[in-house]
Amino acid sequence: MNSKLDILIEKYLDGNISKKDQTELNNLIGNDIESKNSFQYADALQKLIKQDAVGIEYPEELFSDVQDLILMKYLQEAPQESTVFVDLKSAYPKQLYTYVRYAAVIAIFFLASIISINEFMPLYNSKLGVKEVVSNSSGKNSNLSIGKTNIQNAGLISSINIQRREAKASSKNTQKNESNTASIASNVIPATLIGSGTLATESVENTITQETPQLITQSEFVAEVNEVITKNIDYNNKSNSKEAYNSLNELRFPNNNERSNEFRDMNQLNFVPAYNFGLEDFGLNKINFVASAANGFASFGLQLSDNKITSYSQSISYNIDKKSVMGIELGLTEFSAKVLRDVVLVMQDNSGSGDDFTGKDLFKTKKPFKQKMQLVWTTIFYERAIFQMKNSELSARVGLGLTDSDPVFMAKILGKQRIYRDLFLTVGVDTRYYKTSINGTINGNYLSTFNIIYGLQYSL
Amino acid sequence: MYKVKKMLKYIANKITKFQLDEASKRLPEGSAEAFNLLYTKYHNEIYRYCLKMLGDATKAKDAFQDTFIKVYEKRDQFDGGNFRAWLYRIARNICINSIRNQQTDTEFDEEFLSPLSPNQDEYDIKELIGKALATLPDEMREAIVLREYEQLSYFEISETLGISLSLSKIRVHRARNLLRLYLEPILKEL
Repeated sequence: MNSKLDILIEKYLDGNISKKDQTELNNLIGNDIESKNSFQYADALQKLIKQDAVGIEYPEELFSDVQDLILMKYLQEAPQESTVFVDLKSAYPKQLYTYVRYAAVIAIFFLASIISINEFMPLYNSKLGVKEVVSNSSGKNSNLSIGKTNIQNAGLISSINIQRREAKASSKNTQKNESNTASIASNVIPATLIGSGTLATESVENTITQETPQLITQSEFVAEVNEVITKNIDYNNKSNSKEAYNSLNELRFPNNNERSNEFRDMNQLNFVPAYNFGLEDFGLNKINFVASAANGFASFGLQLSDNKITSYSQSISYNIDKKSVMGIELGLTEFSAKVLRDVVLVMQDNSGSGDDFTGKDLFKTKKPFKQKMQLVWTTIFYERAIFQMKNSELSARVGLGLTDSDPVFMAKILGKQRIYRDLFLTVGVDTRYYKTSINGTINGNYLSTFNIIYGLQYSL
Repeated sequence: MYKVKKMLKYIANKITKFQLDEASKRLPEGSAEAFNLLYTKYHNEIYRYCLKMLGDATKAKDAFQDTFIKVYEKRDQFDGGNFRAWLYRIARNICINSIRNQQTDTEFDEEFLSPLSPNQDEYDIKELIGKALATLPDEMREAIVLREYEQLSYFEISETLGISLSLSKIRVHRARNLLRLYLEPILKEL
């Protein structure tokens, strides 16, 4: 057998012989009986093998036996389910089960949103707060009361209500209660003092006017006002510090009475401490919903007397692959900071006494205020699993975004542990860097916080 | 049972390349559905391969079962490439191990060494081919089985066996010649 014949027979058997080779093969086997036999045997052998291949009987039951064996292995791998669990997948159509899961997630987000709204309540509620404090103070402090801060369109205004009464007036004209109105303003916004003689009480006489039936001197009055300011502006008292700023020191919401009234009743729902509760979706499938809470344990850039930072966030993300997730996170960071403000007292006389102090600066000092400030921020984040086991995961998340028009950077390390089916417990730490310009803080350029994150996660 | 076999064959033929690619990608993620699709598609040819490699139905069943158990166990190591070649590599390793055990456990049958005599034409053709295949060295047998029985291309054979393309052609060629030589007395009668 020559090599040329071998090559041509191989080509023929493999089915890729050209017409030219076919002609050459025909010539070879036509002229030589041995070549012809070689070709015929090779061809016959291939036909035999093909017949053999077609005729092979696949053993009965082998397919299902091996299939069942493998299926059992898959089932043994699946997480063990509780005996009391009703499997909706089998009890109802798959589509209905999907709807139930979506409804559950929406319900969780509805609850989370109520908690979130509660965090915003102080922003809407400032007008109401003024009324409450004035009312309380008028009974408690009698003639001098420090009103709670008042938010107007222009900005923050601190108001002081001074009520004064002449103890013994010599004439009908002088028997009228005199009211002196003074204004204390921050260095940012001028303020207005509101006087009300009709609210004066007998105890008024025991404080200022008893010993000074006539209008007190300017220096005495300033001293009294200073004392009252010190007593009443307690920067550790939260009720005095519900002013809310965003990163540009602008009011997030205008002073709107209708809104205040609208949300006054809703504020009664504020029974759940938002910073003690969080739900986070683990997101093993396609779309993940996340809600989490965090408490700060360290910060830089703020002068914090009690160093309290809480935050709350929600996010939606999409699984890029088995280990990577991308999404958007929206959050609210709330912190209390001690700020020093210049307080200026301006006297106005609308009591009809004839003394004209209008427009004169009588008093200027720095007073510490504890401000509760809130930053709303949003980031686009990328999360990747560092370490994965069947029921637990360690992942890292980095995000970049904005708080108002300023940049914010975020990094998280999250540990996740399955506690029941698609429910996971989440604990981790995060750090955030805000480029901010908050008036009155130590460093008006940046703020960084370190937080402990915790919550529950649900995978949809 | 015949209907079941027919139905399985029909389903296997209906599986598209796209479905196979998707199943290959999802197999490493632990998808039982993907495994089932691939199993349905390839079960028949893997059994045939095991049978022709081992020459014994019982051993072929064991090798077949071991092959798919190994696929299940090693599925997370599959890189999502050519599943068929990966599957044949697993089946081949199992068959080779089985052959090695067989050679140590049993005495060598000298009948396999000598060509068939013409008076053996009353033998069943299948049995003759089985015997002829058994006479081949392992590397040639697996090459000819993959080529003639499973219709793999030379490239797929080289990928499965981990050899070069030219070597896969040489092995198939030599296996054909040896088989032809062994079966020549029978082939003359045909």
